[in-house]
Amino acid sequence: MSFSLETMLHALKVASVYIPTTLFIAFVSLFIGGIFGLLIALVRLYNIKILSSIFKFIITILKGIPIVLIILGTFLLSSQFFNPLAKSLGWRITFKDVNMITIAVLALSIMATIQLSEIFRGTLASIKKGQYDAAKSIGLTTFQTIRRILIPLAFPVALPMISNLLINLIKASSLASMVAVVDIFAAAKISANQNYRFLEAYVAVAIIYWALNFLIEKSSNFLENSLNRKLRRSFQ
Amino acid sequence: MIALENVHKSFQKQQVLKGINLKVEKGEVVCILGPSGSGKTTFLRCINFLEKADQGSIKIGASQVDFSTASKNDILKIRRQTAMVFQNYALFNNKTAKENIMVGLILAQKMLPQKAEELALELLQKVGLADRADFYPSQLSGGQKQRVGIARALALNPEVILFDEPTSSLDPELVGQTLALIKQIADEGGTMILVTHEMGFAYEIADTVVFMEGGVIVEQGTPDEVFNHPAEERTQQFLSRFTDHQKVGQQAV
Repeated sequence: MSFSLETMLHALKVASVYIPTTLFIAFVSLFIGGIFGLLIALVRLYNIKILSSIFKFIITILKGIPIVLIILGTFLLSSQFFNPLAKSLGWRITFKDVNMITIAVLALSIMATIQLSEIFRGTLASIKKGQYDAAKSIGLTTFQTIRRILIPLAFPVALPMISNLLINLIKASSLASMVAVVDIFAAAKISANQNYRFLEAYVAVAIIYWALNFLIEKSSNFLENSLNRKLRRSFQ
Repeated sequence: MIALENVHKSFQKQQVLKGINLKVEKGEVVCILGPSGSGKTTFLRCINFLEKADQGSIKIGASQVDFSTASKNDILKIRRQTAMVFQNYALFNNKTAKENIMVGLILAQKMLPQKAEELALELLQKVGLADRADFYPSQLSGGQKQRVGIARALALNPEVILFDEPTSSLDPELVGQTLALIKQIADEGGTMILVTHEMGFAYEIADTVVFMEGGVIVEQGTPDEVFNHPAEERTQQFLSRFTDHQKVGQQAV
């Protein structure tokens, strides 16, 4: 089996066109997961009745399911229920009109929400009781305490784990090709289908993912260091 | 004036406070003494709603709140009229000395940031830390942290400042300067309730001394009454270790 550098470069060129798609899926999922993950973590931190145990139950179930199954499950469920739902809401679109990227984002958001809720729960729990007492004693409302005290304390600690999750999301987004999304991985496979040179295509894909994740790792380190100077001091 | 009536508090099945009544006039300094586990700190935390008492009521100025039926707004109202100085300082770790003082002024009292900063610097000057305004808690010594904590409490201009063993985590040298600062605030007419093990200091600074044990007030009176002529046997027993209090008092301040 010979390796053609030229074919590899060609595959690299074709696949890199879809870098924005991959990044879009990963970042939007991270963002959505961040919002819901934080909400769930706060509900569990403040031990809000009923909701807290419902979330705990759902997370325990979903945590154990492989991401491939979540993607396929999301696809199957939405293909079943989207049309009746759209009809009842009076929308004029059907499941065929839905961009498959939406399905991928939905599935990865579920993964991100679960992971981030656990990340935030851990970091919020590590904040000492004195910080809560101090916030209460000076008369801050719960919302002010969360926004001005807890999140600024938790974020720098959570950052390395968040960047780790982002890398996992980028890698997991390659599974979106299973529901016919054309991303980096799918594009390289399509180009390889024309000449059956899969090795070159896979090497090209590996290089792109590696480069992306290298950049994310580096920028996260940079951000961490600049936060370190100010905020990490707090955990000495 | 602050009036607490019939304060009860239990943790799980253990009853920690069994009906405490306390009245504090404006400008009065009340020192609460007692052995560990007597409920002193819990009582103080109940005044600030850091713990929610099960029963009883609190009256500060015009606001009267029943512990068992207190709404979120009631709690906030009481908290904003009280301030607390903690044993372990409880400064916000990610904020500088100055910001620690400013955060309550800006968020809870809606003061303009510029004005809050002026006041913060003024108070740091008062507690002798003007040159430490931009230092983080991790860069300050224990005594300095506690003085920032006191400045943060003072900034809120509360009806009463609650001190929870403010010198227990400090080394003996730093205890002196912290007590001197507390005394200065008392001399300026600040109303305060102190939980302390510094008997000499309590004798010197207090208008009223309260001796607590087992979740009840055993004895209450002027320092002279409680220290020199205690009526209860238990008080005598507890204070017997501090008979040379006047000497200790002179050393402390």
